[in-house]
Amino acid sequence: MEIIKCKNFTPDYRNIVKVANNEWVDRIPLYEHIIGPKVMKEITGTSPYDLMFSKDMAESKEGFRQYWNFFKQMGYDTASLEFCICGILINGGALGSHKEGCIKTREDFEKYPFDELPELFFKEYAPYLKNFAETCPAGMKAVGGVGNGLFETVQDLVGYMDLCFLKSDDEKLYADLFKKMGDVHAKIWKRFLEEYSDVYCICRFGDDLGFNTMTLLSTDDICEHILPQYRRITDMVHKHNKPFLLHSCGNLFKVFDSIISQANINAKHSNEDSIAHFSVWVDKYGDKIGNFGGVDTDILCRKSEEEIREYVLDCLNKVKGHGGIAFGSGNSIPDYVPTEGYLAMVNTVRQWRGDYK
Amino acid sequence: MSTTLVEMSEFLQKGRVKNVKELIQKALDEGIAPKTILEEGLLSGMSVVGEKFKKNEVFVPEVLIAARAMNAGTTMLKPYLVQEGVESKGTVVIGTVKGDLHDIGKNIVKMMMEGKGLNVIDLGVDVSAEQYVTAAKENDADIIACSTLLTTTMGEIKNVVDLVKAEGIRAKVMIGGAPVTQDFCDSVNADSYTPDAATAADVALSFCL
Repeated sequence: MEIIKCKNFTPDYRNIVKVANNEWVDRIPLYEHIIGPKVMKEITGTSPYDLMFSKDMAESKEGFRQYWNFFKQMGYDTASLEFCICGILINGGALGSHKEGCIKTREDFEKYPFDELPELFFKEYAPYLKNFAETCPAGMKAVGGVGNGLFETVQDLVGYMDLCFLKSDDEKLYADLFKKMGDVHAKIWKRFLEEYSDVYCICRFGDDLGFNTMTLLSTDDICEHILPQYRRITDMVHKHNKPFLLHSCGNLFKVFDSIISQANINAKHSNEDSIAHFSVWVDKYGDKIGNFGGVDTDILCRKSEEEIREYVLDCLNKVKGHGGIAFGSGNSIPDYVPTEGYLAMVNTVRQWRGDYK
Repeated sequence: MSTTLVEMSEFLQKGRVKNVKELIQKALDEGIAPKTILEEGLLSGMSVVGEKFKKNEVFVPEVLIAARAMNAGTTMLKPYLVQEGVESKGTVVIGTVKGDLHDIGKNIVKMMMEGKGLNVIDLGVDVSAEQYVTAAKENDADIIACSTLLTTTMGEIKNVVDLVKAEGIRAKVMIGGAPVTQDFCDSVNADSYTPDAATAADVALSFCL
């Protein structure tokens, strides 16, 4: 496993801000949605995830320092981090933990303490948001913010299948869930932007709206119940002079023009080859928004270092110059991605953009 | 075809459980054979939904509510079918492979297969090769259907195929899920890869005929 260290790399977050605003940058920024602990440990010998959310604030700061340093060492201008709403949902877990949904009826909905969630969010995360900001290295900033989009948080309270049944059984309750949770998101984002967003140069949440062949809800429902709530957040983000990046997996082509126009996003991340190669997204939408992504995560798992190198170079040459491009995996670097595969991708990008000259 | 069965099929496509049940009772009262009610009222409705889903003309929620109506109908009809000696068209043992906890895709495939009149035994998520094979033996299954969402758990599919062959059982192994491809299917010698739930149900039925 070869780790090429580059002594001359100086991070500059303004590069990726240009990309989010759909401007091509010659030193193409590296970008990942999430990088798991195994890869970090194998490359730097550190385990920031074990420390970042420690009750001991000194330990927490050390964790965040390690976290930033990983991204800096690997040649990123930014670190990605979201503080997730699903992490503080009372009786949540229907999405992430396969628990039974806690809202099934109007009565469940009326009883649910939605109004407590914004306070809970900041009670849980404020110290860590502060530590994250205080340990940011010179030249770097973050991408992220308040994690989990509206669809994911609603699913975490109801469950996907029960949400589909609710659409048929009680359409008013189905609609009210999105509105009420949309209010919660707006309140959290408002305070986040006012008090904690300085360290973030691009705001982002992840909300997987689709799967291999289509969207998980009808395109009409996405446009009616989800995108207007996204818009409340992107309007606030834009008022703070920051671009907004949407991470959303799945085949979104039928609804993506609406996502761009209704939700007013600046950039989008997530791609997998079974749906469309990254260059297809760039061809389709590169005139309107910045495109973040690149290598299908499956390629990083199963191909040789040389094959990954060829894939990366082919992809970079296809998308070069077509609007704002930030490059990395099409999804994330979970622990099952071999570190060698991840490094092959990063090193190829860094050589291509001239870090090693 | 009886207008009652046509209406039943239409209500099923809309996921109207109450209407479907009322029409099943009406059909029974009219003296229509339970097997005819199943095939021309329930399965025909689900088949329309499946075809539309394959063509991306309906979304997952519409499939789920139609499948729920069909399940309610078949549950109501079951005693009459048993009495008449009607058997399912085949038996499928389905699950998400070991190490993978995703179940939405698997559940949709299950419902689509039930919509073809197959008896589907759902082993849930995180299912080992041994569990698939044991269930297939116990139920004399025609098919073992393996779902996976994660690249990292694709290897488990090979373990299932290898164990099925080692044990010499007759069940065909069908595979599917986001990272799975025909190339992968060929490489592990599984019997079938299908790219979507509706096609999986069609192929499963063809294996049972």
